[in-house]
Amino acid sequence: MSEVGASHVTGTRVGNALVVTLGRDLGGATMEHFTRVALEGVQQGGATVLVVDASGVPFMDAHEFHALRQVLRMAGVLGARTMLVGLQPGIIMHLMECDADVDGLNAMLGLDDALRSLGAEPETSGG
Amino acid sequence: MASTSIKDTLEKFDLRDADLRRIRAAAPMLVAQLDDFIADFYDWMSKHREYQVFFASNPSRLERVKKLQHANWVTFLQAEIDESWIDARRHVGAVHAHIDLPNEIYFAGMSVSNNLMADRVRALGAKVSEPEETIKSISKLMFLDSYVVIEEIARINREKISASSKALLEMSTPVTPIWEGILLLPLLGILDSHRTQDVMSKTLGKIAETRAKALVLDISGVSAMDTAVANQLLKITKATQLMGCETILSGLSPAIARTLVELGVNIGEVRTTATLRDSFELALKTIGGDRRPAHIG
Repeated sequence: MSEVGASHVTGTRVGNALVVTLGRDLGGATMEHFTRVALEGVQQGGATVLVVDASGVPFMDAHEFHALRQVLRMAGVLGARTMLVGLQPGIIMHLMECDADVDGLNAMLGLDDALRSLGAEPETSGG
Repeated sequence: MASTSIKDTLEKFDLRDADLRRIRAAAPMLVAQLDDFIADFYDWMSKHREYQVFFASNPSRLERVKKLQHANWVTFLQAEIDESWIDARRHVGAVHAHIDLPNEIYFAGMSVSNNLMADRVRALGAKVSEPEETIKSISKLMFLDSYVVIEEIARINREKISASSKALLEMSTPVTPIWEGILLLPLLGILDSHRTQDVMSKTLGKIAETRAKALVLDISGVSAMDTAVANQLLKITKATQLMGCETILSGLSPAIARTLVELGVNIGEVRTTATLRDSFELALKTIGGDRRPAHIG
């Protein structure tokens, strides 16, 4: 597990998947750390699945959402299948109101569903 | 009403300390005549239809109301305008709202009360200093009294209306789980942006609660379809996709299909079916595909 304390972004490896958990605040510095944790995990760590868990994020504006999508697209360019999980209903309502571009985004409510549908393989060695 | 706003209100009604002092000075003499005053009031009221409606069949109610009215006029004449004075008037408003008393008879009653009170002040003659000024002061306070009562009646009515429209909105968005992982939402009537907001928030809430993977949106009851309505439906679809829930539109009539195509609405990748049955079949496939064989086998 790699953690960047100040910005509340946590990257966890589950088999071939990298689960990046976002904290409450998505300010500029957090987004920077998030980008690094996600892309380095895919490129150097060899994760083929990137799941971003936003269930702990209470607010997200269209700008932050756009930045988040860009990172998912970058991970896609690096060859990873991507998924956003746990978006709060309030955030979704807001994004719809702002007419945010959500086409083509993979999203799920629960982490287990996301990992299953992306074909993430849990490590069986007990590690 | 906080004390500062009571002060503001008194200022608006031009009720100065001098007014209240005059009323208080005349109060003991007027309170002594209250029984007489109330008898005169009911003499007037008995000539009107409302008297029959509210009191004819219930003499004990009349006695009770007379007593309450007596207490009410006592505090009126004491003219100590504070929170409890206002609350007492609000209570009168709440009672009137409860019995649906028409505003017409209430205002007519206050006008009659005002005249009856003025007559009594005049009859007291020299016992009251500045009788005409006192009458004016009582009249101002009478207006304040009616305002507080009517405001409370209006507030209660507003509450009733908003509660019933909320109930109506609640009934108009019945998001129901019909299968494990499948929600059904039959939409009826007109879809505007306000309604879409409500549909969206209810649906998203229900998806979060039930972890549904498919939503069947039956639009056979939607009365009119145009570009705006189609866009609202697309928004709902996109929103549910962000929660990992596939929306399937069902109940598209030939007329609606024709309208959508002629309007050039791009419904993109939204899955649509003509009947609810087909939608349900698609929904079952959707949830089946996401489950391990052990669960569907």
